Amino acid sequence: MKRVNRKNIILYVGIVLTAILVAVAILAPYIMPYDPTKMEISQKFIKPCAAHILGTDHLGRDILSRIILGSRISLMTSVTAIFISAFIGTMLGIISGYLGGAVDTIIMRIVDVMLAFPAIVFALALSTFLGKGQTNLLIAICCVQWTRYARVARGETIMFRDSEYIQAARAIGNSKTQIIKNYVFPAVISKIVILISLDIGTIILYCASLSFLGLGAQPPSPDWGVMISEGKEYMQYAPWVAIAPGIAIAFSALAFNMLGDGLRDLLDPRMKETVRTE
Amino acid sequence: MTKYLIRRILMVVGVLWMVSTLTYFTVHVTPGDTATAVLYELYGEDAVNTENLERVREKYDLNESVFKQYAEWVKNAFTGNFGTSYRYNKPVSYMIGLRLPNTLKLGITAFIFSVLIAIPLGVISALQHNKLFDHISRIFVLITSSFPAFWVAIVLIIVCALKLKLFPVSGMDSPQSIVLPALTLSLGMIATTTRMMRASMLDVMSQDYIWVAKAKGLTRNKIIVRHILRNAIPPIISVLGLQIGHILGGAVVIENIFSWPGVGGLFIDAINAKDMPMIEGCVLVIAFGYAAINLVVDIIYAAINPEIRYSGEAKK
Repeated sequence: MKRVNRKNIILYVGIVLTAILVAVAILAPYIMPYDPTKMEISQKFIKPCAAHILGTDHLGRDILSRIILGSRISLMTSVTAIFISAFIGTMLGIISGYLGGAVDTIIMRIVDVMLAFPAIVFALALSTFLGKGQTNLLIAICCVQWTRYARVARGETIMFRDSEYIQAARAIGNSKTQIIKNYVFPAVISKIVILISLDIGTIILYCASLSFLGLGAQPPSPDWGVMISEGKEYMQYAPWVAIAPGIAIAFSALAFNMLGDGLRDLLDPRMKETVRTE
Repeated sequence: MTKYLIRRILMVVGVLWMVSTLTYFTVHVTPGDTATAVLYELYGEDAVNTENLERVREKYDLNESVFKQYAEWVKNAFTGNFGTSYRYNKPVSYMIGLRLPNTLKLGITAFIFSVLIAIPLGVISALQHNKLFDHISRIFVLITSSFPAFWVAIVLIIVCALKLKLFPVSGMDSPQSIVLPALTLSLGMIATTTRMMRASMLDVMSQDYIWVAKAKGLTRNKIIVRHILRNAIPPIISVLGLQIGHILGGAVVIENIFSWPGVGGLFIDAINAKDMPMIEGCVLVIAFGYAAINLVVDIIYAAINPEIRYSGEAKK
C-alpha cells in the first residue's frame, strides 16, 4: 500500500496544482489586486515590485491581475473544448465500432484524413473559414480533437461488442440505442476519462498557441496567449510582460499533465501491469 | 511487402486528395468577398471599387462556380501549379519552392537535436530506473512538455540573444541563427521521445530473454547493446515519424517568432491576408510532407519487422 502511495505522488501533486488553478479561476474577481482592464499610461512598464508583483504592461495594466482573470478564459476554453470533442468523438467512435460496415468506413476515413496532418495546421486553416475569436478557436480545436476520442472509443467498442453480456443484452431484446447507451458507453467511458485528463494540458497549449498567433481572443482580452503576443513587442526592455503569462500557461499545463499521468497509472490496468513487472 | 507498399501508397494518395478537397472548400466558402480582400491586401482601402473588383474577379476566375474553380484547381495541381498568390502576385509553387528548403533545414536540424538528446536520455533513464537520474529526467520531461514552445522561444531570445548576445534574434543570415529556432522546435519532441524510449527500454528489460542473457553470464554492456537496445529501438522509429509531424506543425509557430523564412511563416501570412491559393498550397505541402515521412517510416519499420513484412498488414 505504501508503495502505491509513493507511485501516486504525481497524481497528488497534480490534484493540488489543479485545485489551486481552479480556485484562482473561481475567485478571480476577489483576489485580483487591481482592475485588469484599467489602463494607466503613467504606470506603464513598471518592473516587478511590491506594488505590482509581476509588473505592468505597455498600457500600465497590472500583469498579475490580468493573469488571474486570464485563468478563467484559459480554463473555460480548454475544458469546454475537450468535453465537446470528447463527447462527439466518443459517440461517433461507438457508433462506428458498433455498427461497422459503411458507417464505420466513412467515419474512420474522415479520422484518417484529420490525422494526416499536424492538428495546428488544420486548426489554422479552419480559422480562415471561421474567422477570429474565442468561440471560433473553440470550434477549430473541437474539429481537430474529436478524432482521438473516436479512435479510442471505436477500438474499445469493437473489443466489447461481441462480449457475452452485450450478447445477452441483445438477446433480451434491447434496441441498438439502448445497448449503446446502457452497456457500451459505460464500458468505454473509463478509457475516455483517462484520455481527457491526459489531453487537457495539450489543449491548453493549443489554445495558447492559436491565441498567440492572433486567432483566438482579441486584445484587450487578458488571454494568456494574447498577453505573450503583446509582450513580445517589448521583450527588449520589458521582458517580464511576455514571461509571466507563459509561466501561468506552463503551470496549468503541468497541473493537468500530472493529473492525467497520475490518473492513467491509477486507472489503466495495462499500465499498472507494466509498472508491476518493472 | 510489395502488396503492403502499394496499399500504403494508395492510402496516402487518397488521404491527400481528401485533404486538398477539404481545404479547398473550407477556404473557399469563407465569409467575405475574396476580390475585396485581394484589393485591400494589395492596394489598400482606396482601390476597392466596382471596376477594380470586376478586374480582380476576372483575373483570378472568381466569377465561376466553386465547383468549376475546384475542378480547374485539381487539374492544375497535378502539374504542380497551385495558382497565383493574391498577396505576392507570384505563382504559389514558386513561393513555396523558395521557402521549403529553409523549413527542411530547420526541421532536420531540430530532428537531429532531439534524437541526440532524447535517445541517450531515455536509455540512461531506463538503465537507472527509479534512481536519481531517472527522477530528474522524468521531471525534465514533464516540465518541458508543459511549456508552450512559442514562449520558450521568446525566453531564449531574451536570454541568449538580447542579454548574452550569443545568437542573432531572428532571420537566417548567419549559421548560428539556426540554433535557437531548432532548439525550441526540438523541445516538444525531446519530451515525447525520451518518454517513449524509456518505456520501450523498460518493456524489453522485463522480458524473459534478458533474464536468459543474464543467466548465460553475458556482460552488462553486451546485454545492453545486443539484446536491450536492439529490441527497444524499432518501436521508437514509428514514434519518431509521428514526431516529425509535430515538427512540421511547430515550425508554423516557431518560424513566425524567429522570422525564419520558411513555409510556416508563409502560411501564417497567407491566413492573415486571406490569400487562398497560398493557404491551399501550404496545407497541401505540409500534408504531403507529413504523409511522405510517415510512409517512409512505415516502410523502414516493415523492413525491420518480419511480422509486418510477411502478413502484409501493419500492426500498430
